Amino acid sequence: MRCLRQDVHGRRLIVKRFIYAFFLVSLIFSDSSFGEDFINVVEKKRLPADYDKKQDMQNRRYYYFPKHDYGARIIRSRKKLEKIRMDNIEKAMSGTEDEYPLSGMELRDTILTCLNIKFLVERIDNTQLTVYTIKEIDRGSYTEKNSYLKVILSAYLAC
Amino acid sequence: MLIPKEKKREYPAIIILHGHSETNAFCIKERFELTDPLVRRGGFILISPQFRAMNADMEEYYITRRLMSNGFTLMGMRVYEFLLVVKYLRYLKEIDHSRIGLLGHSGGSVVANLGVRLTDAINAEVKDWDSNYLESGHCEDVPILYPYVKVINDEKTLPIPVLKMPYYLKDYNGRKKIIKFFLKHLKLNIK
Repeated sequence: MRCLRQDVHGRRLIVKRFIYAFFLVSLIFSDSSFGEDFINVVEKKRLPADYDKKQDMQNRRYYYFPKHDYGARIIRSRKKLEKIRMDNIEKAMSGTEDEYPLSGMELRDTILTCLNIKFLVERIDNTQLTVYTIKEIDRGSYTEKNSYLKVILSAYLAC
Repeated sequence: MLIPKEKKREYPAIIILHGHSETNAFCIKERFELTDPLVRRGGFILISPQFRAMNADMEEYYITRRLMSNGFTLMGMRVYEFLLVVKYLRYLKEIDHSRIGLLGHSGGSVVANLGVRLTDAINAEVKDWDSNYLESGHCEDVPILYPYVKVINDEKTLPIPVLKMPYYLKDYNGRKKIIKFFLKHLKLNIK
């Protein structure tokens, strides 16, 4: 009988805790003003009067970084990266509304500049392609260790 | 690079750019199942580079961030590698240079969208993804390109035919559509 009572008591406790947890979770995630007030109290700060939750969530999307990425050095570079990103977004938002103001060549130049590969593409256009086959390397004078890798690497850089 | 057994003077070619967390071989053989219809029966040469650091993992995230902090982009490197493939195809005498196609999946599709603007070697493009270049944490994070998203992603501004496919290609009809598109626009008669 004692065991049975303890068992029933335990179950009641679990049910009570579940209801309590459910209440708390629903309170936090509810859109009611009461829920928001509750969040404010927890975070110990007041949101501004013109706070737009939707816009905030949209902005936060650009701030996404993996959770375990921490440390002062990383945070510094993260801030730098965020600044670059936000500057570009602001620039984009304040841009002209003209539909496609760029010609094909202008767009090509813009993409090359944005990706910072103009010098690489010039290299591609101006150099002769050297292609090595595995057979040639085996037959040739490349007998030393890792020579295959060296040839591939030099060919890659020559491009 | 997959070459058909049947001897010909010139072959049309298709560059295939794989997506994140997959290999070039997987993309050709299993995702799109192109070996039989395009190489064996179609007589196409398929070439696909294996992109490095393309797993959407922490490595890619660190490389993207490090390059960006120093004024470069990982997407730039991928586009450069794509242009090297184009250069290699132009070097091969067996390739018919007026019949080169481009097929990109996911991240490869983003490389294709940029690459096709940089070279006139491509005659037909199939893509399944347009990025806004704000995808944080991997190679599609190039916010400086954001102002030009509309024009880059608009296939109507390209002088070549473009086929836009749904992202998840599950059915046989989708693959058939891609094959038909390449056969039509690269002007090849299938047996």
